[in-house]
Amino acid sequence: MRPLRAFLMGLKALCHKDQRNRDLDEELSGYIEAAAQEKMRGGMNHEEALSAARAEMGTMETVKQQVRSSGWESLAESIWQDIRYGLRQLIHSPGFTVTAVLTLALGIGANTAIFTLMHAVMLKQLPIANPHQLYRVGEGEYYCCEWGGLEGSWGTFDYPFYKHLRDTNPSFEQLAAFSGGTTSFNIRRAGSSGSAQTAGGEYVSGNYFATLGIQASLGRLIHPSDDQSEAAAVAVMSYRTWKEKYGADPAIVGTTISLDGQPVTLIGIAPEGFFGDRLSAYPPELWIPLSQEPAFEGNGQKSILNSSGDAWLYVTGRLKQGAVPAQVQAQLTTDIQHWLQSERKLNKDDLADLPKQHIQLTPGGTGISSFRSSSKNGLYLLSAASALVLLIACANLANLLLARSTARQHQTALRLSLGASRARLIRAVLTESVLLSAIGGLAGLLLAYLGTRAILLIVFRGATYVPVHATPSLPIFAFALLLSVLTGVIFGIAPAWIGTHADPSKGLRAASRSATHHSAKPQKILIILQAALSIILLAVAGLVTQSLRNLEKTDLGFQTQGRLLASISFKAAGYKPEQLPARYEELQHRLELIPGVRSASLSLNSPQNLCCVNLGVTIGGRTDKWIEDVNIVYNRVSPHYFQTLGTPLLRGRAITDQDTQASQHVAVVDESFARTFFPGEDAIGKRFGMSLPGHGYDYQIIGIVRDAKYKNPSITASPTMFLPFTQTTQFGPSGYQRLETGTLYAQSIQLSVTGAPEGYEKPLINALASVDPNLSVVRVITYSEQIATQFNQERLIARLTGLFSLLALVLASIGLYGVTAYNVTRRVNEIGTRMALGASRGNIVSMVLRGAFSQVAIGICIGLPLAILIGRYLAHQLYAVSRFDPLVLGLSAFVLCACALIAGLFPARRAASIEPMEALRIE
Amino acid sequence: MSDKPSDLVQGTLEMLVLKTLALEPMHGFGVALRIEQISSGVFRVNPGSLFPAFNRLERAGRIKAEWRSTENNRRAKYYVLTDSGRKALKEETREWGRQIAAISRILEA
Repeated sequence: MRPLRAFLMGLKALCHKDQRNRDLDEELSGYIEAAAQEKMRGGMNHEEALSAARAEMGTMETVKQQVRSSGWESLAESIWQDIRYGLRQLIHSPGFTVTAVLTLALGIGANTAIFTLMHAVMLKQLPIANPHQLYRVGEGEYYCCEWGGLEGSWGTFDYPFYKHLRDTNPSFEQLAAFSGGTTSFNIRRAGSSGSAQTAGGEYVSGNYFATLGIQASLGRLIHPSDDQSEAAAVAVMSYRTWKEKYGADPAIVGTTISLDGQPVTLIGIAPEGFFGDRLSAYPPELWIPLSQEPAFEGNGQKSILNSSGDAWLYVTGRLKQGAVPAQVQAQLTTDIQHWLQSERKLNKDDLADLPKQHIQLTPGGTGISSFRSSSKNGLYLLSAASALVLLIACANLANLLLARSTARQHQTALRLSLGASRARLIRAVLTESVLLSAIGGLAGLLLAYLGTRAILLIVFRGATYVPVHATPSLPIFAFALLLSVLTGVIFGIAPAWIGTHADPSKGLRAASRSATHHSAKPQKILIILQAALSIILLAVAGLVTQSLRNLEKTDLGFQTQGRLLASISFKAAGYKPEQLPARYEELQHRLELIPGVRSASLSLNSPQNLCCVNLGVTIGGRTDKWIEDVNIVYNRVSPHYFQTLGTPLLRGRAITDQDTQASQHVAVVDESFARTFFPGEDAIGKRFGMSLPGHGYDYQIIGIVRDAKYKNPSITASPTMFLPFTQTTQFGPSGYQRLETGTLYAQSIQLSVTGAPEGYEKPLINALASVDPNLSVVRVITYSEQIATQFNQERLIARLTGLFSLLALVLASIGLYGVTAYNVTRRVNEIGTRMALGASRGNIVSMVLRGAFSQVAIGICIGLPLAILIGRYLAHQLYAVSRFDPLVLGLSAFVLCACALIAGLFPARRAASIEPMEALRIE
Repeated sequence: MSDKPSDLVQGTLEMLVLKTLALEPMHGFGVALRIEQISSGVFRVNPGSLFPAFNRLERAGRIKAEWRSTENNRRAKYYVLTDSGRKALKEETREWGRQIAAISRILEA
């Protein structure tokens, strides 16, 4: 009540300032009058009494000031005064203001843009209820861990272990499982005769939606009762797919749709903002209960639902109130070790590794994002780089403000001597700097929005859906605001402190010359700081760019020009394994008939795309233990595959039409396969097989091809083997049998063409449709574009650090120029005297340049060791970059020196053009 | 009146103003004069502290101001004690008494 009244009355006083002023005047003159009357009673005459009363009161203005400052509004008023004063100052020096605002906008904009990405990728929670309660059992992302083996730190699990956890672990309220990746389905509305569409579906446990705590936007979501082997087949559709592919037609809910030819009831639509459990450019469009997996995978051995040892499920749960994550983690680790021991047939080596098996509990609220885990380091690097840019910008502005405050020394001294308190003066200067940074921050927000959009376009190049938005949200605004204010204080505090540190008497007596002397030192320190930071940024940008250059220059071992790549799903089109070989042959023949197509091929995987199936092999007659520990990349290819990709066949022959089920089972291997297993001998004719007892002679090596990079070049390549689609081996019930049938489905088509590959997209799609209208292409892309998208992140990071270091360089150069030019102006007299005493113009130029260079040199001396240190740390994250790169470091130092030379040359020339007589006359 | 006027004990001015106004509504000079007279000239109140005190008390709702005409027919701002002011005065007087008693006991001990 009382603070409210005080506030209201203060507000009234502010609004009716004139009225209040008049009242106070009247009251005070009344007081003097009354005091005089009193004194006249004591015997004074009117004149004497009045002047005595006035003398007792002091000046009326002082009393009024005292009354005014007894309320809160006086503080508000003086801050408002400071703001108006600050704005006036800024308007009076537009050059300074524009420079400062631009500098700040760039600095704050860069930081805000990077923060927007950080926020979206690493901090933002999934649109689900109480995401902080969600924990994921395990860590990391796996694509290809379907066959057993011990993971060490576990990330994916088989269904039996999930069931065991779900039913026995007491720490979770709910524990859900999902397949993580999506499977392509052919989807068709009941009664529709149009061509089928492809939709990515994710298998989820019945309590998936309940665990995430989300509600259907229409219909209902999957319940635990849907996830039973005898339950009716159901599916839930994503909001985006419903809207974009089905025009948000509410009638579709409850109808039967056909998925890969099987009738499924579409029971509901997921909420609008929900894109699944991860940030992905290809979010799931359908969610299907786990229990239906066998039905879609042919009910036979291909199904992995009930098999033991095939880790394909991600597990996420809601921790119970009061459960301690560290304890739950320990309990899970004990659990998996016991489980492995009792449920799996572990061999001697596995048993030795058992104590190393553990489960990490990771916060699950932000989703499992491959983008996040792979870009985490890059984002940290970028935030550090943008922070450095902002620091350099701060140093620049501090320098500018220092120069200004020196120029205002006289004025400051005058104010101090007139009774202004130093605190008030500091506040005024700080208000001005915070004002500047606030304006800069606003401009920075705009820059950040545009910047983020550009960044997203690069990162998600070629993606149909961008899971990150550039539009600033509340946290982004808060970040920018906080950063602006902080920046303003950081670059304002030193000039405010130094600038108001004037002895009034001295400042008034002397011209500004003597007072300026002591501010030269902080300016020099700031320049040294800028130089040091710039060299660090330049060196880092150099390393990152070098890494990208190395990546792009890597010999991939195949041709990317004139190649077209299509992804396709025969499984979704309803093919049985035995139908496939004939269809492949027909399709390949049909594709090679397209005019301009040199050759066409099909394969399970292709380089830099959909990589890879990894496994181990045995070699007939050899028992060395290390052999089965070698990680082998497994692929199936059609005839003409190597010639279509342009991978040279070094020895022997490639796979042809003559390799059939009835003939000798063959394999083509790459150089590193031959080198690893058959060093110093001819691999052709040798036999090997899957690492199962009795399979060591299954395949005979008929050809050796050059190594090609299937994965990211920065990952060490594994030896690779290629099998024909036409030959299969019986393995009995095991993961290998499922692999054998599963890999019969080609996922990729390659074309080698004459002319621009873009022109062949239509003919390719038409050819597919003419062979089978159900065969829908998931994606067509030229191979060079496919390669380009592989390095999106690396390219982005290299470009941005390059951009940031350029910014830093420009800012530092401007700063150096400003300080040098300012010093020349300050030393006109001294220079004049030197010249009068016989110094040549060359002497003067070298004197000025020496001054500029000495600061940069000190900066380089400080920055280089730091840059080396950072380089050593970064090198292992970069590709083929040495831990100490004298070329990059030397080049960075050289670039900085060159900029220093340019920045110093202009003031030096001006100094040399000083006429001694004129300079001396000024004094 | 042989002694020099003393400074007021910190924080007591507002209490004295309330006490003065408790007798009757008064204008600024009236309050100053009354305090000086009753204290036999020991306390002399400076307008530079008196008027800010009025402002604070008014903000706190303990007094309110109104324009009235004086005995010699001039307009002056009179300050009137409010109910809450009366309550505050009672409170402060009691507190003051406790403190004085305590201080005296210490000084006499």
